[in-house]
Amino acid sequence: MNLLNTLIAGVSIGAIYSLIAFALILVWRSTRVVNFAQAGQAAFSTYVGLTIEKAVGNYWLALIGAILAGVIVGAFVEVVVVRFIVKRATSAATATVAPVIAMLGLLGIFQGVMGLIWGGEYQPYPTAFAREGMSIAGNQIPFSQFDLFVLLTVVVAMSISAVIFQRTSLGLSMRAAAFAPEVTRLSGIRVSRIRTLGWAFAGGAGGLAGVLVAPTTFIAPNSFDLLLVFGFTAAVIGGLDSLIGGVLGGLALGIGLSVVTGYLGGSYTFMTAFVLLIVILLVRPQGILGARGARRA
Amino acid sequence: MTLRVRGLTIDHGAIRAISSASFNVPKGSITAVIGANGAGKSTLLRTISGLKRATSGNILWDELAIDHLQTEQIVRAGIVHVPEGRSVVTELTVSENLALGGVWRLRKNKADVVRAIDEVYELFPRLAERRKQRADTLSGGERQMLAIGRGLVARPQLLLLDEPSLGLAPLVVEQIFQTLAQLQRSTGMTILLVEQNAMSALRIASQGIVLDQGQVVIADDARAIMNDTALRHAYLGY
Repeated sequence: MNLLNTLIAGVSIGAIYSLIAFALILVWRSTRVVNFAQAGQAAFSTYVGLTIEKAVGNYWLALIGAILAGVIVGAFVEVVVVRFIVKRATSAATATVAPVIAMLGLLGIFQGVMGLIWGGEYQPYPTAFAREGMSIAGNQIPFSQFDLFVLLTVVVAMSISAVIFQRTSLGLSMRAAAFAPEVTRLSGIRVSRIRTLGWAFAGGAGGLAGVLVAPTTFIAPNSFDLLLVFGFTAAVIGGLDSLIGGVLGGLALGIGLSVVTGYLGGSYTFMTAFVLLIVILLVRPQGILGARGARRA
Repeated sequence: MTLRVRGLTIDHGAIRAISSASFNVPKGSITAVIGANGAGKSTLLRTISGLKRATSGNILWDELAIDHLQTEQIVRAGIVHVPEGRSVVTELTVSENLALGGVWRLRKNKADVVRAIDEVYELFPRLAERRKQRADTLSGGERQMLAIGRGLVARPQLLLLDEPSLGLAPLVVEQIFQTLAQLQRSTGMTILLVEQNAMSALRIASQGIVLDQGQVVIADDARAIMNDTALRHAYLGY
């Protein structure tokens, strides 16, 4: 196994980590909540996609359906649960702990509901592309048409997001609300609505990530829990406040873990992600691209 | 439009910040609210702009009771608050900060938002030179100009300014206050200015309100307050 092949093999899974990191960071920036329920939201959205796929047999319709389901579920979680937990947290301690516990609880509820609707067993998720490695000049590389599709889809999704964030007034409002909610409110912007939109946006990204990863992991109520850990590690690598950092963190993590798997074996992958997570939190808690020094009030 | 505050009482947890305050801010005036640190000045502005709720009393904007409106609705009614501490979004550029002030009325009148931003650049040419820079690279004075500029892009009828002089060099304070006075004259806008720097504030104000431990002790012509030596000694410390 040569190094180049190992690196290539990590790109498309890294792109999926990027999507999850993106979703986690978006929510963290808008509400200061680490959304552990994201794994459940993404699985739920993917099940919706699978249901559409089984009903009409169209991959693309299922993909769009899963993204829309993610958007709706994300907005629902913010409006029904998160808003009240954040509002009711009166002390700094409860403001930190309450959302964490609530999101873990919500993850459990999601998994329970999915089990009731779709059953607990692993189900395959179809793909519209070949999964065998492509051949370049007679050599097979560990990069399939499906991997290419995943990579391009993530690049397109991130490019659209970048345009929305950097070039539209909605994006301006979202960035301002993330960093200075009070100034944003005083500018006449409905910050609570902007927050709901942030959760919706993140939910959509989670749904997309679910559909892209499910052909590999299969789909079960808890099949994305590991993905959440990797996505969270990617987000921490990038610094929890930087969307670009999270996306780069996802790619770096995907490629890095592929090297570990290739040279040390698959049993080291999961452990390495956790070691990396802890080392970064110890050495550089603001992440690779996170804000230098303490944030100003 | 006149702002009328009637019997306003505001509590900060167990502490009474403002007790039963009544005063008017006449249309087209610069009204300075002065008093020592902790006199409840900032709390008063935060309540007018809807960030905080009063315990009792009323705030009327002509006929409209605004004491139960959301901040976003109060902005739409023409009252814009520039809080203390040069409040800008440090992660955004100068031009993005100014654009933020106009987002809420972009769909209604985009051309006027663009015009309002240009006017801010004319008013504060130093912001124009730095329009692509992030706000956290600005000096304190420039940040205060940007905070005021963001407020102006909303085209307020009543501008609430909290301690614009805080932590700034005297020359910069002078420049900002002169710009405010000139702005008021040219637009007819009403300004409610909260200041610890009583002398600078009263010099450009037409009316002064002195707060002491949450109570309105004097509401009078600004010049009369400045000329009343006993009063200045008692409440303003100069």
